[in-house]
Amino acid sequence: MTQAWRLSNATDQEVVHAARAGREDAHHELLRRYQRPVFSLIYRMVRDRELAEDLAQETFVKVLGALDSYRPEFKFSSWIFKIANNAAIDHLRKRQLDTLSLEGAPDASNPDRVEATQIQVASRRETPLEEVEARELGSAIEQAIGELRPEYRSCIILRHIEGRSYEEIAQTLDLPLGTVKTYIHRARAELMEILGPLRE
Amino acid sequence: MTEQPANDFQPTEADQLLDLYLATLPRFDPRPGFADRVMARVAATGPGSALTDVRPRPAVPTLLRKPALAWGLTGSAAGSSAVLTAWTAANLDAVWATVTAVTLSIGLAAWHALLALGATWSAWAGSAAAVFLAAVGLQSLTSLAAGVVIAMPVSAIGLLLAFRPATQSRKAIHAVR
Repeated sequence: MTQAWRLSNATDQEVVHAARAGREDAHHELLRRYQRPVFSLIYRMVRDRELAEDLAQETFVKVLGALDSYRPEFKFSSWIFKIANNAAIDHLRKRQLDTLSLEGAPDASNPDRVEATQIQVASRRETPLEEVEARELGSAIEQAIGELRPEYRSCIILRHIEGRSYEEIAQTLDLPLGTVKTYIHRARAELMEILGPLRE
Repeated sequence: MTEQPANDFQPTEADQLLDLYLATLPRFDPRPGFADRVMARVAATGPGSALTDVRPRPAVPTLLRKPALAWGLTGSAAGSSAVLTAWTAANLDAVWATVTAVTLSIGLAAWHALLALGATWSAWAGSAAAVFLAAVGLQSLTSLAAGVVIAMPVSAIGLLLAFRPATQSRKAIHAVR
């Protein structure tokens, strides 16, 4: 049985334990497990692929450099999402970017920049028609999420895309459980309002 | 903030449609090589890297940080001191007589030189002071003296600042938020 096989089947806590012991393959395993969710969360928050990658890198550098301060009584995923969300929120506060569009970041001043900041929605449908529909629906929902307040956006992404429980979201975002439920309730109401015309 | 319970909510058609929309959302991939770029950054900022090696310079010279050399120098100093002390104790009278003779001769010579200097220069210094006082007046001289008295500590502080040790660099601490 190889170490790599063991790591890929190990729990997050076991992988973190190995990473703390200095095993580089454990670091790679954590990256393999969390690079997509972390990047997706940050990308949907900041809506700029290049910036999202920088912030995701920053998140992993912090996480891997501070594994000793991780408390195993909490879920590792909550910890890493918390650091990722903080990185995104800090950036949004700095730039005061509350809303962004799928057509590119508001500060995009030339066509190249607009193209670089357009959100890329992958399709999982097979037929061309389904692919177009999926892209259209995806674009609308992505745009609607982009119009939410950052706090609501984090809650919706963690709940509906990452499938986290209310309790985990509360832990991740350092919010009371009731506040998380309220945020998700209001965010859903706003999304339905924004998406209303599409349903008709 | 008003807390609104979400436990007992009954999904409407609109809710179900929204869930359907949300279910279509994919996860995104970073550019290929993301993990390698992260690991490179981790290696660059990890322990033992150039970034973290910004410790203040040690006060003890590098040469003396070698224990064998430091002990050797200390032993030599202690040994020579012991030999000198023992020889002095054995020849105390002769040493005392020599020291007294040398001190007296040096002291007398210095005293005679000082007297000669005073005799030569006192007339010139007195004349120069009288001419200076007549030219600038007593008040100006007082002001000049006060200026010198004030300037001396300022200059001393300036010298101390100029020759102070280089500022020690501090390690940046990045807290994980």
